[in-house]
Amino acid sequence: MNQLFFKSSLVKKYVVALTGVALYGFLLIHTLGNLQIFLGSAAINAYASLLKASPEILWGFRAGLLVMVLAHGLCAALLAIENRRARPAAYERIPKFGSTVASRTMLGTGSVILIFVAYHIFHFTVRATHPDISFFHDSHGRHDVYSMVVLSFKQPALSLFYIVGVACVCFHLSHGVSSAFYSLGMVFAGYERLISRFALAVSVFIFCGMSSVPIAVMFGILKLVPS
Amino acid sequence: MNIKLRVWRQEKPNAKGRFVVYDFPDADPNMSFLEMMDALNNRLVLQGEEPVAFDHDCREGICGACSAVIGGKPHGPGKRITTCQAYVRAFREGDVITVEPFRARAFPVLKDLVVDRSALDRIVQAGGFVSVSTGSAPEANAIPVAKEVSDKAFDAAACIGCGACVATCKNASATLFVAAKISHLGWLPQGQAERSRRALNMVEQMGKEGFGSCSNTLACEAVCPKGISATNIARMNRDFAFALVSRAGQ
Repeated sequence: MNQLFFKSSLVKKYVVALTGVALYGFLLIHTLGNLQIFLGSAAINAYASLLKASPEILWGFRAGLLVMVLAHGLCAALLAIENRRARPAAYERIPKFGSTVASRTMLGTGSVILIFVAYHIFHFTVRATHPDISFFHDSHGRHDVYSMVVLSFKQPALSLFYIVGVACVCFHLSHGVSSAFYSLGMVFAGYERLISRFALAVSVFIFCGMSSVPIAVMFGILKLVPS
Repeated sequence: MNIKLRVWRQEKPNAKGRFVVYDFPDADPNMSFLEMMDALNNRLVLQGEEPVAFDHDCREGICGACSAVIGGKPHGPGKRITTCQAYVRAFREGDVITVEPFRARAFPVLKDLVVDRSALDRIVQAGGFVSVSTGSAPEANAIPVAKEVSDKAFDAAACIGCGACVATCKNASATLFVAAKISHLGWLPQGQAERSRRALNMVEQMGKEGFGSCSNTLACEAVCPKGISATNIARMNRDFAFALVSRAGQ
C-alpha cells in the first residue's frame, strides 16, 4: 500500500489537481480583491490593511500557499521526468492530433508563472523593485496600495509584463481547470464539453479581472487622487 | 496516384534505424494502406531486398494488431479507423507519407514497424480474475443490468488494445487503455467483487511497464479507433482513489 501510494503517478496527479484547485481558489479571491481598486483608494487601502491585520493569519496563509506551490511544482516535475523517460526515441513527426496547445505546454507555462509570481512578490509584497513609489501612506496612516499600483502601472513596460504574466496564468488554467476534473475523477459522460467550457470561462474571468487594473491605469481610468 | 513512402527501417531491436524512401508512382487510390505495403513488399522481394515488417491480422478493424504512425497520426488519416482501414485515397497526389513505428519505452521496436505491445497484455493479466459462479447456466434475468450500464460497459469493452492511445500521447501513457479495461468490468455487477483490487493492480502494473502518466490532453480519445471515451479515465482515477482508501482501512 505504502509503496503504491508513493510510487503511483495517479497519487501525484491527485496532489497536482488538489493543490491546483486550492491555488485557483486563492487566485479567484485575489482577483475579487484587486477589483476593489475601482471603488477608490479608501476601499483598496482598507482591504489591504484588513489582510495584514493579523500576522498569525497572514503568515499562516502565506505558509499554506507556499506548501501548495511547492507540492504542485514538485509533483508536476516528478511526473514530467517520468513522462520524458517514457518515450526515449522521439517521433520525427510529432503526433499532435486532438490535443490543445495549452495542454501540451503546461510545464512551460508553469515555469513562466513561477518567475512571474516571484517578481510580483518582490514588486508588491516585499516592495523591493520600486521602493520610490511603494512606501506612501494615506490620510488614515494606512499603506497607500492605491498609489503604489497606479504609479507602477503607469509604466507601460511593467503593465505589459503583468498582462503577459496574467495571460500565461490563464492559458495554464484553461487546461488546468478541466484537467483537475479528470484527475479527481469528476467527469461524467455528457458533461465533457460543459467542463471544458467552464474551464475556459473561469480562465477568461481571471484574465479580464486581473488585466483590467493595468489597462485602466494606462487608459487613465484609474489615476492618482490627492490624498 | 504518385506517392512516396518514407518508411522506418530497423533491422532488429536496439539496432540503429533510419528512414528509407520508396517511390510509388502507380498507387491505386482504392488500395488500402496495407495493400500498398503488400505491393511494396512484393516489389522488394523481387528486387532481392528485405520486405518491410509490419503488424496486421484481421484487416477489418477489430483485432488491434495493426499499428504504425502514418503521416503524424497513429493508424493514419481518418477518424475511428485502424491502419488496415486507411485507404490510399485519403492521401493527395504527390504526398510523401512518413510511416513510423509506435514509439514508447514500453513498446520496444522489434523490427521496422513492428513493436512489442505485450506490456498491455501484462496489464490485463495484472487485472486478475472475475468471480463468477460456475455450474449450471444461470437464469438469464438473475442478475439485472440496466441498459445504460451495459451500454457503458460495452463501450469500454470495445477497446481492441492496439496501443494508439500510447502512441499519440505526449507522455506515452497507457491511461486510456487501462481505464477502458478497468471500466468494462467495473460497470457490471459481475465485476464488483474484485473492483478495488483490479484498479490497484492494473495501475501498479502500468507504472512498472514504464508508461508515462496522464496529462488529460485527450489526444488518446481523438485517435482511438474505437472512440473510447476519456470519461473512463476520470472513472479510473475515482476507482483508484476509493481503492487506495479502502485498502488503507483494511
